[in-house]
This record gives sequence, structure tokens and C-alpha cells, in this order.
Amino acid sequence: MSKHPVLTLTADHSLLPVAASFVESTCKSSGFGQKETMALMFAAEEIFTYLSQFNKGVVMILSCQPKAYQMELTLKFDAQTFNLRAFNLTSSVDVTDESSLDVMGLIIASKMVDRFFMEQSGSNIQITFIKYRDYGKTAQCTYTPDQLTQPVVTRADTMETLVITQMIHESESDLPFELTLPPMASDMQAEGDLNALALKDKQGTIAGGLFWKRLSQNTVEIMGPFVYGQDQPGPLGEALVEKCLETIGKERVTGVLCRHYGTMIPEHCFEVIGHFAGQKVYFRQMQEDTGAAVWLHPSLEKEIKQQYESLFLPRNIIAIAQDQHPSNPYSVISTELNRSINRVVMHPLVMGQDALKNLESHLKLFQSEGYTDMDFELDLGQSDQGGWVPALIKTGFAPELLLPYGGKGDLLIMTCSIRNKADN
Amino acid sequence: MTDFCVDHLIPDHIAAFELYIPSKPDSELEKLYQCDRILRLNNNENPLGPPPEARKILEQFPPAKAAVYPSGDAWYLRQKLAQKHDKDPDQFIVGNGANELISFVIQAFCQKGDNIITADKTFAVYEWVAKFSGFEARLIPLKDFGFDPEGMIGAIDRRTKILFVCNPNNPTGTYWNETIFRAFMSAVNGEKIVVLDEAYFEFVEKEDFPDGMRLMAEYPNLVVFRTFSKMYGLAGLRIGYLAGSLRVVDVIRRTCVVYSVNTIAQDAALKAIDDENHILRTRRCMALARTYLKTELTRLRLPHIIGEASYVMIKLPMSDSLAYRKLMAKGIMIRSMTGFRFPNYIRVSLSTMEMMEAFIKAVSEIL
Repeated sequence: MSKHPVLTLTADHSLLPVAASFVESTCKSSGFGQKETMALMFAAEEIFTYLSQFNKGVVMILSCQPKAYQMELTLKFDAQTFNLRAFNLTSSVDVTDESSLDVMGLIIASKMVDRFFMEQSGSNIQITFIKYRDYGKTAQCTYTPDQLTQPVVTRADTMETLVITQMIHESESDLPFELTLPPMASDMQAEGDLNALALKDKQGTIAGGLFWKRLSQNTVEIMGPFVYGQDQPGPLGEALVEKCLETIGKERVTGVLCRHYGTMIPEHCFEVIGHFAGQKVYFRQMQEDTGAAVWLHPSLEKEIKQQYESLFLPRNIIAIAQDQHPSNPYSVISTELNRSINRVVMHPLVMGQDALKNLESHLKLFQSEGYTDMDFELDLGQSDQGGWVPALIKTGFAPELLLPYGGKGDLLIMTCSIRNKADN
Repeated sequence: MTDFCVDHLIPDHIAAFELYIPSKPDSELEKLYQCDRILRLNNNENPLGPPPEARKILEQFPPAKAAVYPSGDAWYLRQKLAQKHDKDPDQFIVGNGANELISFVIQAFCQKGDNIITADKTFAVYEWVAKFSGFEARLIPLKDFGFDPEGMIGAIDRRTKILFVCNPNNPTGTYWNETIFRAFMSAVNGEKIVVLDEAYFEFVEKEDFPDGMRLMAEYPNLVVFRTFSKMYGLAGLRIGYLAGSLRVVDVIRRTCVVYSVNTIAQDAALKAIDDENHILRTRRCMALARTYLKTELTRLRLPHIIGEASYVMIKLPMSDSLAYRKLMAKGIMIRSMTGFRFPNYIRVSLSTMEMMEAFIKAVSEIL
């Protein structure tokens, strides 16, 4: 049974005050400030108005899940009654006028929050908005560790996480968003959404750490190792990585990904599976790979096959038809917007005859919104997703990263970077 | 028809449980890894196979017997085990491999709120069965790659029911000698059940290695596991047994699934158990492999632990899961150890010289 507040109501404009009031009162009672409360309330109003017109009369379940570091607003629908085209950020309320970008409720609502994503799981459709707690400005670090005597690696408590994140905030240039805000990292850990290791000695002197979090059902992301005053790989960084791998060794994890790391990363513990923003992406499988089937569009087959061979990944490659003619006239794309890192991730939901046009509209919208990094994730374990490849290639997407078992099967991340295009 | 939603029916401890995905059949792996044969060095199977008399049982098994239920409690095999170990037949329970026996013992003694104690880096099934049965598994870190008796004793509380000791330990091959084991049993003081898993007992030649079957007479809370999967080469038939005091075994028997051990397994085990020559031949094979690997791994500068059982643990300067894939592409199947909480280690079964040479050649090429 859910322990957070839930409201069930019909998508009807007359009930807008009820939805807004529900969000406002939940935020306030959970100790969120006026700024966060108003942002989520406006997002809820916008999305409710949009959906009341696009899906009038549909039953929706609103839930607010407060956490120490964020408020999560979720709208759930039954997929059988929901008009999936509302998922396209470029859909306007007036379905006869797709060009009227000024009434696109989802994109307007998404501007109010830090993260926004949509997903379909079985018979459920879900739209999620996340607003982070406002932590203000990060305090200047005053912690400088002494030389460690007999260092050990232990699970870090939230106070130690605060110390480690303050320490690395000053010394590391490539940190994920959550580690740039020490109190947020500490709160995330308290909620169980972030894990941390501390490198310290028996006197309690802390000189480094490593963090990890779930990225998906199968994949964990490691952030680090970070060791104060060291800029070369060595036994301390290795000890942090090995302790982390031991800790998650028996959990439900197929692989670990490492995109944010210091100079101490023990490369031999990982494999390089590609590059992200010009930097190596490290990966490691946690289990023995006993093979999988992947569905590939012929235009990518040669390149991806080479990658599989270079990584020794056993895959049964099934080529899909070169030119597919989907029966559905309309395609649907779900989107994850992450304003804190200026990143868009798109996922194919429904393949349709208008795939190219739909994709172009989305790209145009994201460019106008100032997004520079746009990814499209194809689950190669799903036979129906390869049909998007021709449209992706035509709009400038190229394979960037192949993440083994990142989805139902391997996840191929294709990137269209406006910044890179401009640089070129 | 709409999808049946099962989520609300799943207990929390099952929802949180990691699914174990067994390896695909060798022929499928050969296709996927594009190799023409696979040398199995992953499961510590006996390269010599079953003893000759057990082979005859397999070759001559009358098809008509397949239509008849097996002995529900392995009657003849228990008589034979009793005779061999000088005990009462009712002191034995035969199960469908050690996994089933672990389950019997945990179900017999644990109830809601109870815990079991074992090591953090050992045979995983003690922990799995406890967790998916809804009980806490207290995992004590190994000390110098071996079980830590003080750590285990220190973790005991009022709700502790069973302590599992794998001797020699899988995967490190380390063992408790009789002095350590006796001290441990004295500290437990007869208040908890101690399971001594001796799956690799027949491989150990050290004088100070404790014999659980003998010590059982002194410790009525001791339960010993043995198997026909390793030394006796019957892994494919799934058959093992436990032994303990009459009182303890009587309790465990209440949780047993009778008829779970098939006729051919019982018949083959009955013949296998008498073959002392098979044990000597296997030990000679293991000794040759052990000596060869020690030399070669030292030459390759690969840290390794060769214990008393039929396997070796090797630390590689690379991810063990990557090593698994690279070795598979060369037709060599080993066990990667991240899942045992030993990242960058692999476990390799001791086998014939031909297999050991093939392994050393392959591992040299991937380094």
C-alpha cells in the first residue's frame, strides 16, 4: 500500500482547483519552500489543463511522493483510455493544428521542474515531474584531510557523504549534478537513492570516496573513485572500486556504468564501451554473459556487429526489414527532460508513418528550448524499435554508446548533438 | 484478455530477491561464442566422470524401471551409508542435491524473525534459501580467505538457528582443521544447529582435516552434508545426503519432499560409494593439475589460491566477466567470481592435464 498522498479524479477542467490544491498542500506539509511548491503547482495546473482537453473524461491518479531532496508528482492513466499521442511533446491540443506550438501543455509544464519523463508499463501510462529541493549555494569547502595511516574502505554514513562531497566539489571538475550539491547527496543517501563508500583511517580521517546509484532495473552507475590529493590510479582507487563491486555483487545488477570519475579510476576493472561528451565511458558486466538476441536495422548492422565483436559480447543478430511500412499513421515518442544537465532523452513508444516528421518536430522544439544534447535510446532487445533507425539517421543521430542489457536487451544510445554540430 | 497483475501477491522478500539465471546449454553457448567445443572448468565436475560400477548402472538401466516410482526415502542407499559410516540408517536423509538439503534444514528450524549465519564469500545457496524463505542471513566476512570462527560466534543471538560452515570453503579452498572446528563447536555449546558442508570432503588429503561423520557422535547439534556430484561424478543426477543425530534428523525429515530423488540416481550412488580406486584416481588427477597450475600461474605472475578442493581461484588484472567472455570465445568455460563478491577473480576447476594446458594457453592469450 502506497504511503504517499494519492488523488483519483477525472480529467475535467472544472476539477483543476482540486488538483492544484492537492499538490500545494502536499508540498507544504512536506516542508518544501514556496519556490518549489509554486513550480510544481503550476506544472500540475498546466498538465491538468492540457490533459483535460486532450483526454477529457479520462480517470487519472495523481500522487505526490515527497523525499528529503525532491518532490515527485506522478500522473497515472489506464493506457486503454489514454490518447497516447498526448505523449508527443509536439502535440497540440488542437489535433488539427500540429503547428500551434504555443499550446503544448507538456513542454510548458516541464519548464517548471527539474526532471520530467513519461513511461508506459503494461497497461499503465505515467507522467512524472520532479522538482529538487532548493539547497541554495554550496558552502565553501574547509576540509583538508591529513595523510592517511592504514586506510580502510567502509560504507559512508550521511555525515561522511557530506564531507566527501564537499571535498570533491572543490577538486573535481566532472561531477554528476547530485554530487555538486553536498546536502542533496547526503539527503539522497538517507532516502536510499544514493550509496557511498568512504576511504578513511582508524582515526576517522576521510580522504576519498565513491558513490553509486541505480540507473535502471539492470544497471548501476558508479561515480568515482575520488581520492584527495592523488591524480594517478593506485591501490586506494582500486580498493574503493573493488569494495563497491563486492557490495553489489549479489544484487540484481547486470552491469555497472561509470561516466563520472576522477583520474584515479582503475581502468583494468572496466571495459570502455564508448564515449560520452568526449570522455571514455567505462562499463563492467556483473554476471557471466550467456548471450542474447538483438534486432538491428541493416544500416547499423556492420558498425554494431563490429562493436559486439570487439567487446566479445555473444549476440544473435537478427536483421529487421530494410523498409518497414508501419500500419499506424502516428508515431509516439516519450521524452525525459533533465534541465539540470541540459539533456533530452527520447524513447520510442509507437512506430508510425509520421516517424520522421515527428522526430524533426521534436528536435526543432528542443533546439528552440535551448537543449544541446539529445539522445534517442533504442532497445535492441525489442524487435519493433529498429524501424526508427532511418528517421534517426536522416535527422543526424549517430550511435554513441552500446550499453549491454541496458533495457530489455542491449541499449543503443544514438546522439544528435547540436553543440558538436556547431563545433564541426 | 488483460494482463494478470501479480505484484500485489508477491511477498516483499521474494520481490527483492535476485533471480538466478543458469547458464545456457553448451551447444547454445558454442553457437553464441562461435567456438567448436567448450571445455567445462566452471562447475568443479569430476573430469573422470562416475566410477565404473556406477557407469554400468547408467548404461544398463532397464527402461521399465522408469515407469515405477523410486524409493521415497532412498531406502537401500541409506542402509549402505549407515554401513559405511557406522550409523543408523535413520540418521541419513538423501536429497535432490545439496540445494534441496539446505532448504530442508532451514525450513525445519527457522521461523519468522530467525536468522542463519554463514560467510559473506562462500557457497551462495545458504544465503539464497534463507532469504527467499524470509529469514535473515548474517554474512560474516572471510578472514584471510577462510571462515572466521570468532566473527560467526560473535554474530549469534537469541534468534540464530543455524550456522553454515563450508569446509573446505567454496570458492577459496581454505579449511578449518579439527582443532579450530572443535573450538567452534565448543563455543556454540550445543545451542544452535551447525551445518558442516563437506561437498569436497573426499578431495582433501590433509591429516588435520576434520571428518564430520566421525565428530557427529560427539556433537548432537552437528549436521553434515555430502554429495555425489563432485568426487563421484554424478552431478547430472542430482543426489546428495545429510547426516546428523537421530533427534535432529527426525525434525529435518518432517520438511522433506519424498520421492524427490530418482531411481537411477539412487542406484548409481549405491554403486559409486564403494569405489575407493575412483577416489585415488581422481586425487592423482587433481594433484597433477594442482602442481602444474601452481607453476604456470606463478610464471604468469597471476595471484592465486589453490586450496584442498578441486578448484583454484585466480586474480586477473582485468574484469572477470570480460575474462569469462574472452575465454568462452576460446572454448574455455570458467566461473567469474564477482557474484561471489570476489571481483576480478575467476574460479577454475582442476581437471586433466590436457584441459589444464588448454586453459593456461587461453589465459596467457587474453592477458
